[in-house]
Order: sequence, then structure tokens, then C-alpha cells
Amino acid sequence: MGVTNCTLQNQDPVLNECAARLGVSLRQTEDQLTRDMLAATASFINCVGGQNGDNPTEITRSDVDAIVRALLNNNAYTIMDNIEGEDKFGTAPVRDAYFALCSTQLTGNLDAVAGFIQKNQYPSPMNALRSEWGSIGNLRFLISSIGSFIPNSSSSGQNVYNIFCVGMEAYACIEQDGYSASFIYRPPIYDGPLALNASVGYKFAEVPRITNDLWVLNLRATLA
Amino acid sequence: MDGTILSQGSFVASSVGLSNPNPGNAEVGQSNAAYIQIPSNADWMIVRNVTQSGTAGTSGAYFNGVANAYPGVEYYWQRGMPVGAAIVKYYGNGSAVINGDTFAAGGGFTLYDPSGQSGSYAAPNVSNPVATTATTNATRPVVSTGNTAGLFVGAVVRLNSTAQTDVNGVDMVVSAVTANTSFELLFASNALATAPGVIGGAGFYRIVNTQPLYYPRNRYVTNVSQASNAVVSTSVAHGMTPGQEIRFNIPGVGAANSGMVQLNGLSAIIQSVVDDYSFVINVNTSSFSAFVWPTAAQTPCSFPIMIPFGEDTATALSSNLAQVPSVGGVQIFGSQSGILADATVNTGYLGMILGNGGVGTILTTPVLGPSGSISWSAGNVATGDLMFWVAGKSSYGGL
Repeated sequence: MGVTNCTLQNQDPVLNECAARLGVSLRQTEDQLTRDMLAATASFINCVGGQNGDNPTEITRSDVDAIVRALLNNNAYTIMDNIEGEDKFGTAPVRDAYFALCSTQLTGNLDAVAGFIQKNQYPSPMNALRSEWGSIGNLRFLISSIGSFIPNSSSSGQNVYNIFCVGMEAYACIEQDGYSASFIYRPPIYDGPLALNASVGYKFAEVPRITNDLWVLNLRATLA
Repeated sequence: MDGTILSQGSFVASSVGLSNPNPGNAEVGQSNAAYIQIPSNADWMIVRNVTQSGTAGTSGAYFNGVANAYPGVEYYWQRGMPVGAAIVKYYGNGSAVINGDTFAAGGGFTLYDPSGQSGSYAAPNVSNPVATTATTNATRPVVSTGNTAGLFVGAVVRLNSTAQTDVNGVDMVVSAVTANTSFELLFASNALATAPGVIGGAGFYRIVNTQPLYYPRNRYVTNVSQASNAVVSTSVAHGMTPGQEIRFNIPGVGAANSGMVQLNGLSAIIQSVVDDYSFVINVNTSSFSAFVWPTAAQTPCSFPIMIPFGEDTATALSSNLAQVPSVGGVQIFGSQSGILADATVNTGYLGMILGNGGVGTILTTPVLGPSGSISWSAGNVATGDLMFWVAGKSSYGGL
């Protein structure tokens, strides 16, 4: 009887899953810290064009126009190029645009703003970002479930949602100590004297920072 | 077994912003709440009042303006106890006999976690609403309420009342508290430039327990003087230092008009800090229009704000020793000093808020809290108690 040598390869599914989840956690934490920096430091104005009787009001086209005008007056560069119009039903050309970073809670209100273009109405939807909701004027709205809001801070005690309207290079995430992030895995033999448990985690050292305060404006809004 | 003690420390009870509750007489009164940093969080904590442990007890210490409180000598908390709870020991009146009690409605220990990840075990970033009945139409509005629990001089509140829509939602500092009757907003140095224009009706206030995570912070501007070196006031503590540069956003278009529109968009260098709520800038506003606070009739509107954006190195070098970002004499956690005082930093930390006391469950009158007490001389000089604390993690068990 012969013996066949073989090599057993085992892709540890638990560790793979942990790595995937930790990766999401890392980038989401990075987003949260950047969000909190912008909320604490950036200039802000209230939406005032709406009809909900609150202060700030819900977002309207006049508020979008005001914030775009302010960024243009401050010589902020747009981030995204325009999307040229094409001969397709139900589409519309998209202007070159600043990014507007906001909460998913605002999606319904964005739909109702005059001139809103859903990303599926872009002439080439593949040019839209995955997190993008659509565009109004020279703003393209990127939404997130961890978008910024200030609890109970409207005139009527409702949550106020921060919409960070940013131009190119308005802020940066600066890596500290010569690295951005490390994924660290210690197998059991290295993790404890009895080799009972493995440990896995990440660390990162970076600081978010506004590079030009004139190129980022926080447009504050309540829900309609 | 307590597990491993993680950390220990001591502090002196803070009297910043407080005054003798019975001026001209030697008295004992409550202190400001104390914030203790515990980097790895804590499962238990003990605070001992060294000063009061060596002093005969009294039942006549002042708490919220009434002389009916006992100073405590020892406080204990562990995870699983409600927010604001503590097991407290205090001396009987005129003796060193130890009595025990708990706080019936807060005033003890509260975990501090501005990230919000500790959920209901820590102080919420914004407290639950508390009913108010009216707000005066004054540059330092007085808010009437039957419940002032948790309020103290220096606390930050967020109002929502009917009618006074130009004050609603704007974080403001509390300058005086009359127990379970009313509290006043803003100090003399940061009063609104002009009254809101209307009396506020019934509504709510919420205590804002955490400041924005990052420093330096944008702030609402409540007043700007007309002077060769203007004085700028903010609605809550600014934490700025000389040399830092700010820019103004002063609404001046349409219904909302904050008067001094000439300041809109201008940058300024902070020359000196007057107090936690005002500072002097290098802009001559003598010929500018008078600053006004938006009226309720002008809402919805934007509010006048200042935005920090950098530092003037020349000014910074000329006032290097004054460049410690601080509030209440305590440096803002994580902030840089010197010419890097303007650096953007994450000020978050895990820790514990030591309350200034509350009503005892058995006593039904107050016991002063783990933040310690203040001894006032007849000359109204404050001396804070010396406090020692230990905190740690538990290795086994549950809530």
C-alpha cells in the first residue's frame, strides 16, 4: 500500500470573517472621526427656505444655491467633473459638483428639492458613486447611515442634520507616526501562556483636519 | 475581590464660577461636578473626601441655595448601578458617626463617554427634556422650571420653548440656578447683545453633557463690542487662546440681520482672553454697525458664529505662556499648548463624572456629592476639599 503525501490548506473562515468585519469597522471609525471634526470646526449656515416652521428648515433649492454660491465666492474647486448629456430618455446632464456629505435620513427631503436628479437619471449612471443619492445644482449628495446630526437642536427640538458641502482639498486625513492603519493578528501561541485564545484587531493613527475653512460649509437642515 | 486597580488620583473640589451661598459667613457648599479620566474605563470607583473625613459632620451645608445638606466622606459605585447613583457615607451632625445612604435621583457617579458607545450606562450626550414654563425676554434670559436637577453654574443647556425661537436650539451656559424654580442663561460677559424680542412660553430644556469631539470649535457669537480692539462673546466656553485666528459668519442678508455685517467673512487674531466666554480681537469695529442678536421675528435664520481656522505665529510667540486651551482653568483634554495651541485634536476620553450631590434616599435631604464640597470663609474665600479616588476593572461576574 502506498502513502500519498498531501498538504492540507485551511482558509480559517472565522479569521477571514473577523478581518472583513474589522476592515469595515476601521473605515467606519475613520468616517465617524472625520464627521465629528467637520461638525465641531466647520462654518455652518441654516436652511431657511423651507416651510416646515422650524429653524433650520428643510432643505430647499434656494439653500443649495446659497451654499454653492458661497463656495464659488470662496474659490473652492469642484471635486467631480460634469457628466455630459446624452440622447437617452429620462436623463439629464449633471454639472461639475462639490460633494455634499449627509445622513441617509435626508433622502426623502432631497427627492423633493427642485432640480433634484436621481443618480439613475444620470446620462451614465456608472459614473455615480455607490454612496451617491443624486445631485442638485452643483452639489452631488453622498449619504451614509452614520451621517452627522445634532440631537434636539432645532427651534422646535428636532434633530438638525449636518450637510457638509466640500470643495476639492477642503480637508485632509493626516497619517501619524508614518502609517495609517495596522491589522494585528496574534495566534494563540503568542497571545497567552496557555495558548488558549487568539487575538485580532486593528489600530490606526491619523487626524482629520480642515485645510481651508472657506472650502467647507455645513448646511444645517431639519426634516420636512 | 475587587480585581485589578487601574488607576488612582486626587483632586481639589472646584469652586470656579461659584460664590459663597451665604455671603459674609463661613459656610460649606457644593462644588462643581468633577471629570476624571480613566483611560480603560472603570467597573468600579471609590472616592474619599479627605478634608471632610477629618471634620465633624454638619447638616447645614448649602446645596442649591438651601442649608440642609450633609457633606459626604466616602462614595462607591460599580457597573450595573443606575446612572448618577452612589452608595454614600457621611458623618452625623456635629459628630464623626458614619451614616449610610444612596442618592435617590442622581448626583453621584456617571460614566463619561462622548462617543456614545457606552449607551445607557453613560451620561447621554443630551439629557432627556425637562419641562419649562416661561423664559424672560432679557439679554440673560431666566428660565422658569420646577426641576433643576443636574443643573449647575457652567452647565450647558439647549432650550425649546414656544415663541422664543431665536434662543431655541442655541447651546447656552447656565450662570445661576435657583433650586427647582429657575435658572439664568449667560454671564454678564457673554450676555446677548440684544434681548430675544419676545417672552418664551412653555417648553423644555435639555442638559448638553458633551462638547463637540474636536478642538478648536465653532461657537455662536452673542455679542461683539464696538471698539478699537473688539471684545467677542460666545454662548458657551470658547477655549481659545491668544494668537489663534478666527473667521466670522455674520448673517446680514434678508430677514436675518445681526447688525455688524461689516464683520462678516473677516478673519481676526485673538489678542487676549478676557474669560471663558469672551476674548479680544485685533479688529477695529468702532465704525461698524452695532451687533444685534437675531429676533424671534427673524427666524428661520442663521446665527452669528465664529470659526477657528489657524494661528498667527507672531502673536503666538509673544504670548506663549498664555497659550493653554482651557475652560474653568483646566486644560482641554488632548489639546496642545504653545504655538501649536490651535492644533485640531480629538478631545474625547473615557472617564467618570463625579456629581455634586443630591437628595438621599433615607435622608430625604441632600448629601453633597463625590465632587467634594467647598468651605467658604467669612471673607468669601473658597477652599475646596481634598479628594482621593481609586477606580478599577473587575475580572469576573456580571451586572
